[in-house]
Amino acid sequence: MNPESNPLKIDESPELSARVLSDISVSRPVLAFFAFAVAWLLIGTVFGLTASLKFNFPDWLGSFPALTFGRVRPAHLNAIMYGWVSLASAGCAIWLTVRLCQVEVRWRKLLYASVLLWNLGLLYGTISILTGNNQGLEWLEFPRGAAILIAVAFVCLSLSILRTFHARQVKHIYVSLWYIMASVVWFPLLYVIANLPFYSGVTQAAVNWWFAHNAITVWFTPIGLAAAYYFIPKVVGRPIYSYYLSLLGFWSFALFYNWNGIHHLVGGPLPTWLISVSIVASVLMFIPVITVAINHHLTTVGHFDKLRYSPTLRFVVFGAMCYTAVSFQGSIEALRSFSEISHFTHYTIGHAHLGMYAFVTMILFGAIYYTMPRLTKWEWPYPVLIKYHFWLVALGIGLYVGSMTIGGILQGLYMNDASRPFISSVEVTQPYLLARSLAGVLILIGHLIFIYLFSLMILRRGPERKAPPWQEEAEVIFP
Amino acid sequence: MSLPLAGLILILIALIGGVIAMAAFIWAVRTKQFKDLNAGAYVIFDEEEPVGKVTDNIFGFPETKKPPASNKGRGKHESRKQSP
Repeated sequence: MNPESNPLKIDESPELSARVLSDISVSRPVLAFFAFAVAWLLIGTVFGLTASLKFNFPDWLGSFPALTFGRVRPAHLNAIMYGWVSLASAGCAIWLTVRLCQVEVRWRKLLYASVLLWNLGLLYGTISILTGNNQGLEWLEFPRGAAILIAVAFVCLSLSILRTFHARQVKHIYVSLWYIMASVVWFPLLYVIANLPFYSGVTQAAVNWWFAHNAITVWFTPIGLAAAYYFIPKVVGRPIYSYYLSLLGFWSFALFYNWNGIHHLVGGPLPTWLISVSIVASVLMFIPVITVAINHHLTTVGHFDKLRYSPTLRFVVFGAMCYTAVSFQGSIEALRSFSEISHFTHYTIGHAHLGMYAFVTMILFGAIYYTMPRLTKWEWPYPVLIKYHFWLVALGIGLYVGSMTIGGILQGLYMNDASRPFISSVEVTQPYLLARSLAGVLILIGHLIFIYLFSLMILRRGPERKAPPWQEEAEVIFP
Repeated sequence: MSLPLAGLILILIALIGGVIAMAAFIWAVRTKQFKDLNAGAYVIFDEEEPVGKVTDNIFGFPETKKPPASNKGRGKHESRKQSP
């Protein structure tokens, strides 16, 4: 398979549709993005579980400076955010773009350059964090060199996607494409602005959280929603319930969401109006979230039996439901009265994982289950292992979010109660922290199963399953 | 670089960003992206994968488990195989 040296043109192979040809044209770059994403998923999960176990066994690995909590925890965050989620989202965005534009990808070499620079940046950044060279700002821990590499990688990705979009053969811009285009225009700008060297003090904190929340706003969430808006109707075989609502959702999302970041600093030494504006915008997020929830639910309703047969639909519907949950939770969490309890507790950690795992990661798993057979023309082997993967990570993240939510609220109530000593707010969380480590083990086992299946797919190994239409297409592509 | 100058640069970048978003919206209205919204929802389907065709049912293949007769996806895709 070498689409680069032997490009299949639409006229030369009339037996393949434009949809299949556009899939083939991105097969290699998307596989590269996915393969590195999966590698960083494993690295990030191991860091995460290590950090979690340190709450249960505080002395464990404490003699190695590189493996102390203060280094492992940011390494987990960055490996997952800029490694797994970003690389998998990039692969997903490229694939959706060529599908929805019905063209072969443009400037493919930029995509290879992007994946290379991205991984160099990640490697340099992660090693820097482990050796103690950390910028000291959450989500911006990577030293400047690594940030520059990642910014250049992202610009390469954006240019290729925008050039492909410009060459599109479909007149109508589907709602998923709106989300992707917004992402690739906005995220490079955001990342560069946040890494500029001239902030200090309170301004630095404001820029920091403006960036951290907007990374969710203009990169992780739009790609997750773009995937959900494509995969749910596509798998079920039914158009979106209300296309009008989906576009209303997109434009209200673009208008409100980028104001949200400062709600992370409720109670901080910032101008009150700045925080209030952010809280108002956070509550206004109910509008786009409800449009998305209504749309996804009413598209799937009556087709829930298909969840039994389609791994993609299982993961994506799970993720879409969690998007509604995490957004409602986020809007409430932004309120000052609620923040009094939840701020600085494990509740926030539960919220973050509900967003980045139960929503984004689950949808990315669904996207990978759908795209891989179309890229490699090989059907997933061992469907039963896919079921184990789903149930392990679904139960794992359920236990994770549940234990952090309850433990976090108790911790917040104990901290606010002046009659209790501070240590009681730590002791009360102990059983919940143990439950979290158990959840981490479940998730790690699920990921190992997924990585095994993914490796078989990349190598086209495992039992050959007769699953049209790959069979017929593979005969044309690999004669 | 002094902070006020940095602030001016940031405001300028933010304005450019806002202008891009406004331009995209006006362009979308002008090129009639918001006309006939129902048709827009159908662009993800084509002749080989029309409305009504389930495009992913890995767990439903014969090697694993026999799905009930009411499963539309499998029915469709069997008929597709038989037709040349």
